[in-house]
Amino acid sequence: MPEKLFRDPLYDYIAIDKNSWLLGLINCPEVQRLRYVSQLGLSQFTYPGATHSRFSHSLGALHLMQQCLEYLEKDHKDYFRNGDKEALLAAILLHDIGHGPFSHASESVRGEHEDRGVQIIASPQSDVNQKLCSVDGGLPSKVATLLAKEPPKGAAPPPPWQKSLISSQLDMDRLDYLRRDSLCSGAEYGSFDWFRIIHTMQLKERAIPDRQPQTLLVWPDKSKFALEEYIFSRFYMYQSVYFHHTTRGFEGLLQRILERARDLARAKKSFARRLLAPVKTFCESTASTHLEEFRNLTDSVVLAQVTIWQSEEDKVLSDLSRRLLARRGLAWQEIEQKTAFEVVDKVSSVRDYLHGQELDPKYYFFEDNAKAIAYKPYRPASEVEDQSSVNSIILHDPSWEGTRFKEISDIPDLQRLKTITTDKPSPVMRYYFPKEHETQIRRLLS
Amino acid sequence: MKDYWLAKLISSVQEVDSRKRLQKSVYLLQAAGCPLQCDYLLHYYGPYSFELAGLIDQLHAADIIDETPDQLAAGVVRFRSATTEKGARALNAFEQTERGQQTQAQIAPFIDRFKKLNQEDAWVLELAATVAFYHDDDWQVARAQTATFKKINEDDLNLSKAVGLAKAFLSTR
Repeated sequence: MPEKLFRDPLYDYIAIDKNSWLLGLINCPEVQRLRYVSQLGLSQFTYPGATHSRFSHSLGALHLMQQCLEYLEKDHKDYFRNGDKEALLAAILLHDIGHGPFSHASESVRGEHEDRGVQIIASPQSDVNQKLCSVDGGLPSKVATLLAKEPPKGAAPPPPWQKSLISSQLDMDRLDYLRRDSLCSGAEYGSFDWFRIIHTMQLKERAIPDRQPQTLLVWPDKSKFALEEYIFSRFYMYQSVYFHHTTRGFEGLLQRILERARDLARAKKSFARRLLAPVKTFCESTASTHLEEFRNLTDSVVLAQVTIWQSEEDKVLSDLSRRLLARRGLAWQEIEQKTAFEVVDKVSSVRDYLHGQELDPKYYFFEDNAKAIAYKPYRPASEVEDQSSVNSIILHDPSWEGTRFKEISDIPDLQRLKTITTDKPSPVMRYYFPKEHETQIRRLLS
Repeated sequence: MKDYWLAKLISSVQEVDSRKRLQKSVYLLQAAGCPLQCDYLLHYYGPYSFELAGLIDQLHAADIIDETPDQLAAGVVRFRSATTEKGARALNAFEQTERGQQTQAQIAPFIDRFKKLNQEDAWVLELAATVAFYHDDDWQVARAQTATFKKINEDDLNLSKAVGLAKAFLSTR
């Protein structure tokens, strides 16, 4: 069968059947757009090599899903219904098509990428929808259900084990991006035995108290060290890359630039008229997803717009834009083990101070905390969360007593895991402010 | 001030025996107009808020509350929450300020109701939150949808209690 080969720094080659519908899906403009959306947003401000795209990541995740399904089908063919494989492959390829420019930096301004991705897939006007329909009329709905946070009304939820492969504590998305982000950033923490993880996974039935039995994605005891290595990689990548203070600061700055632009666009028609067309749609928060304009909204368009804004007559927008492009002007202070209400007086005093300096704290002072991070370290699910492989990494061994299932933190040989999967989350709050006022603001926050 | 309101609710009782109880109780209070408003969606056990889960994490991380794990059957872990001494001091210090007093006044009307929910049967509470989630003008429809979702009979006695409980909260909006 003739294959289309994509050269890839992680997997050497990614092969797609040249005649398959998957290749047609890859060639859809909504997927091709991901070539121009960076995987790690402004992490390149910290790690200059981290300029890889969401396109290469989506292909990589697809490659892993192909391997995973091929492996699972050998021993678990009965778990696959008609169309399941196609839906899983399409879902993992399309899981990021709703990402705005600079990935997570734009989400606070324009909403979450999963919702937008599901809208695009469900829209008959989109190329991906039409391509999926050409395979099977029900395929867009099936793919959307796999990707949505909750299934649309009337739609049956997908089997949790399938959801696990797309979005869980250990899914094809994470298996690719951890290693890809590590390679491209140069932060060498993302190395783990992914091949073993994929080629030892199993499907097992587990009885749940007061519930129907569940089919879980599990691993045998012999894979525990590979899984432990994965969890540690995730932890180190979180600490050193995804939650890096410099990156988070400039992402916060970009958010404020976009918020300022949106506020100005709403207040002044003359400002809105001067915007590049895709940015104009982005700033109009009452608009529904304009597929055509969203397709044109990429990192380079936003950068071009921010470059233009450097000479904007609005002083706040021009100042913030210059700070971003010159990579300057932000200081930060970390506050540990405090809640917002404990520091409310300190925060108020900083806001008052900035007002006195004629700087609007809405744009020049912001908080960043661990809860706002998309990529989080692994923690086992609590009782209120779904006790499935979506929220926990679960192992199974027939020699174990009782249910024969164990969440990975409970494996006796993996005690060092508890140091990073403790019940207590990392208590970090950071405040960012203009560097030229660092001394005064640090005093107010201390 | 969501973290304050949540901390204040937890501090009003000796202990909340599970995160599930906290999730469902806050949902019902929210339905009754409580200022602590979080985004909920229908999850495996009924209405669930990732936002509220994040707030609980924050309070735990800041030593405002303590969470004690209990190992249940089938490897499930349940977390009991209680206010710490540090938490009690922090709440008190905040409530000495003008802003703290204003914020406290907003949650005060819901403290007694939270205490009562804390005594409620856990299963009835779970059902009540689900009924409230499904309710959209028609209680019978909400009852039927909850029965289907929870895989119980429509005439289940606990479900009847749950409908009554949900009505008590939704009617006071």
